[in-house]
Amino acid sequence: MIRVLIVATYASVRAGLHALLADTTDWVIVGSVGSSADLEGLLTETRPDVVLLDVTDGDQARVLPLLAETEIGVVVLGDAPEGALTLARSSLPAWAYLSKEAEGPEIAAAVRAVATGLIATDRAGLAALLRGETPGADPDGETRFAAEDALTAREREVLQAIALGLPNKAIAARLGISTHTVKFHVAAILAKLGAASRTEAVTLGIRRGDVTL
Amino acid sequence: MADVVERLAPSVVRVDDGSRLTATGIIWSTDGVIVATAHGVERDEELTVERADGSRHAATLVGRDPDVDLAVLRAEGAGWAAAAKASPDAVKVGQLVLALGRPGRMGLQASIGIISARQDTESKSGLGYLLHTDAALHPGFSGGPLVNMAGQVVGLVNRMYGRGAGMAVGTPILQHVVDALLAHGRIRRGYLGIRTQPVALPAALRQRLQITQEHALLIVQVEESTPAETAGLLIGDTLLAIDGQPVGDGDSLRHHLRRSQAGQTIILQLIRGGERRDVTATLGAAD
Repeated sequence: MIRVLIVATYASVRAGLHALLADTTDWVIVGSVGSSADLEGLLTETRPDVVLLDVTDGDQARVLPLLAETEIGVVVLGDAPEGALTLARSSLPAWAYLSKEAEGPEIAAAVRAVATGLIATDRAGLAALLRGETPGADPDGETRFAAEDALTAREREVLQAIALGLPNKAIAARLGISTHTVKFHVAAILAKLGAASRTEAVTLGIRRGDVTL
Repeated sequence: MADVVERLAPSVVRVDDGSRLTATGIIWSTDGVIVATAHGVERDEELTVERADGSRHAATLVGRDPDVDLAVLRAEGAGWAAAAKASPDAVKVGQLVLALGRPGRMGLQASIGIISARQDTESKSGLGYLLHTDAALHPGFSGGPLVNMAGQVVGLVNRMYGRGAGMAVGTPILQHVVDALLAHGRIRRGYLGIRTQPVALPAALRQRLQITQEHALLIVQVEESTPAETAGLLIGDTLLAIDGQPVGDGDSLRHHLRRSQAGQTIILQLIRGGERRDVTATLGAAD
């Protein structure tokens, strides 16, 4: 059972996180507080595996050093992807960075990943990490997994059909669109994934988690 | 050697998908079924194939198999000269082979080498193999045959597969793909309903759980009404292995599912909440 402590500035956010996470059976929320004050005592008292953090920058700066001295992982809900860089440069044992707009399933995935000892981030956070670690590596100022390279829902559907090996005409019939539109989507998918062919797009899509297996 | 080339030449076609680059294909059966690489037919609406006698024929794409980068076409017309295939048992490392291609407008081309390695694979359709060769594979050779000195096809060459190294997909895999695509228009394989991303397992975690593998798959999406959801898989679970076979990346999961079929029960080895656990799932069909 994963023990989760919620630290969120606003009561409404705490209530929202409670509601989002209420349906799970593999963890328990051991506490819920509004600031970093008295957190040290609370950590000892509640012994969380993961702290779910949605606080101001100042409060975050106080919380992270506290956690860095423990085995406790942290899931940060932030408003700037560069927050992932701060976490990467810390000595936290396990962490995740997500946007404040993250939805329940994403937060759930992050909590479980961090409880397992892994490091996770959303695509925007990863792009920030790549930019931060390799400044100027790409002459266009873009990175392979930049946020703008995320596939749209429709492109994912097309890629899924490509993974089945379907011809353009069959993809068009399946999705109720024209073959011209299919070709448009295929070109966009290849460009976003940096793939030279459909075969390579499927391979890269599977690696990125864009194809359902 | 020229006799071998001459014998196979009528079974080697030029495949034109309307793009700037053309590819090669092998006539598989006398009713106009042609095997080529999937990447050689990126555009699939106005395909044509050109025979040894220069005649051009319209063709339709039956389907692709992206897992092994193969495509099956059906060409119009008659008088298709099917290539002879070597028995899998007779394909051995060290054999002299020719790679044949019909790229661009230069007609048939050939290069020579040996089978430098044979990599056997197992699938639900039986044993198959991939071949490595030192024969030069020139641009446009992809989809052409690798042939032995008896004039029999031992594999279909693919320049992209080996990323510079000469690779060929063996005839048993080709036959399986042809049969499956002609019957269903696609390859049937097991389906779980998850999206994953590879993750490195921290050393401390591996030590605590006594795991030797260094990578696993983090489940980032569980689709609704799928075998994965029925089995109780959760976003954030870390998939270590299926039926004891490690799945350290998406490719290994993909190839495991390719060897499986709908209705089959599998055991997924996971990490959830820092602890190991096994989950049983019954696979569905990818459609």
